[in-house]
Amino acid sequence: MPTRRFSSTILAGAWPQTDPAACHTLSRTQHRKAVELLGHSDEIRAAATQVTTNQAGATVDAFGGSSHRLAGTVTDHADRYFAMARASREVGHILHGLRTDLEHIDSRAHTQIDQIAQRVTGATAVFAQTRIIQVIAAARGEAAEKSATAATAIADQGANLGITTPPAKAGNPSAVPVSGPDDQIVDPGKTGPRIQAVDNTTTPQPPGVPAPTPGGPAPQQGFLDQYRDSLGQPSAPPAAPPPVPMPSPNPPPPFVPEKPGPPVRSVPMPSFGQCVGDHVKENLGESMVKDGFKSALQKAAMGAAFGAGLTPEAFGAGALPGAVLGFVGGFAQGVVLAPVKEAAKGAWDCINNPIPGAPTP
Amino acid sequence: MINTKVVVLGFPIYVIWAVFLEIVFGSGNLTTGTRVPVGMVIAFCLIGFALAGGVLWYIIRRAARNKPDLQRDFYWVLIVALCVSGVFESAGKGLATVLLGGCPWWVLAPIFALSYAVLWAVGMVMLTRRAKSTPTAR
Repeated sequence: MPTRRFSSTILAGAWPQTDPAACHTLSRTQHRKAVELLGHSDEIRAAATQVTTNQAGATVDAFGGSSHRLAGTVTDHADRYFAMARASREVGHILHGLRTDLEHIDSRAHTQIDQIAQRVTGATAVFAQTRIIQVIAAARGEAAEKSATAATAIADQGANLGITTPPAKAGNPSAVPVSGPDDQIVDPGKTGPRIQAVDNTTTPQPPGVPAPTPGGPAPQQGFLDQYRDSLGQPSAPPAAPPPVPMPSPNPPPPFVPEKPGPPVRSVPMPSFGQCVGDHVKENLGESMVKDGFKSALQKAAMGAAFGAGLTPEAFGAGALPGAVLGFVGGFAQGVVLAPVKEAAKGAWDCINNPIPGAPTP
Repeated sequence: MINTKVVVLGFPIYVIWAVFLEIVFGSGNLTTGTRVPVGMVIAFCLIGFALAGGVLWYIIRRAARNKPDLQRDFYWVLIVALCVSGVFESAGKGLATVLLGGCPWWVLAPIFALSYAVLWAVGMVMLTRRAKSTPTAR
């Protein structure tokens, strides 16, 4: 995660903790496993062919047919592993793209915050703080939107593998049983080789360690669930199968989910009119006083010149009443025109420092 | 009859005084938010001061022949002239703020010069019309 000043605030809950490189490593491992399974399938077919060539009889024919079916099942498993390898590689690309987008959003937000901070003065400090909060909120919303899009894309990868559909063994006996890559081929016995489904919802235990009891610890979360947790989104029910099963040899480092941050809420963006209005409300009082006195002193000089210029016979005696009248009139004028002046200044600020996501004028 | 020397002398004094007050109060943004070519700065100042000088010269030349009734009309004319020149001045500063992002001294000086000329133009037009409409003032 970037380490800029407001990065943790902007990217909290949106930054993917899973390293894209881990996904690529997983993809390579799954690809190797698929190739290995294809080799095993070829060996089974070769053995069956050799037996049926050298010998004859009903038993030999039954053995040959059963071996070919078993080889087809292993080939199916290899195809599933190839598909998972492609999905893992794609998930790695998605995570890498998400990190790049979030880095760009964070960098852009900090550039805008720096620009606001450079222009801040004592009188506009409160307004600048409001603008900075708006920039952070807009960047946070944009980051959450990117994360949600990436999560959807990752879920689509899982759906393409068919891992989001409930397995037939969960309670639908009439459905056609679907074999999984982790299913085991057990001793054929009298009925020939058969496939025993592996329970993926429990953590595999090393030999000698008792299996977890039904009332024991919660089953291990799947990859998508962990990623959703890291995004602060509700995870799938624990009964759902893991989208990307980890192969047993050389598994990638375990995914450590970040502490879930607060849920991201969309902040309503102020319009251009609201931006100008905020500027006017922020500076109007001070501007009325300053502009009033400034205009009064300016108009007093103007009134004095006007009065003196119009009374040459009285040696400029009109200068004093002109100055007094100019002072009073100038003060009133400065107070009355202060809102217009602040609106013009606010329009300039809002045009040149647009709030991301806010409608343009 | 108006005192030409006071009008001409008050012109640069008022411009300098007004710009000085703007800088002292610091209420406006004295630096522009956009880069402006030097030629545009010089041309803007020359045109502004030329316009103000032309208006003042014409007003003095035309109004010098009339003798206004100051006791009756002076206050109203001054108030109206101040308002008109003030609106002109504020509009110019607001326009410069929107277009340039600030009001530097080279923008303020021509605006104040024109505002001074507008003051005298409005004042002289009102006083002259009042003098012509009053038989005793001719």
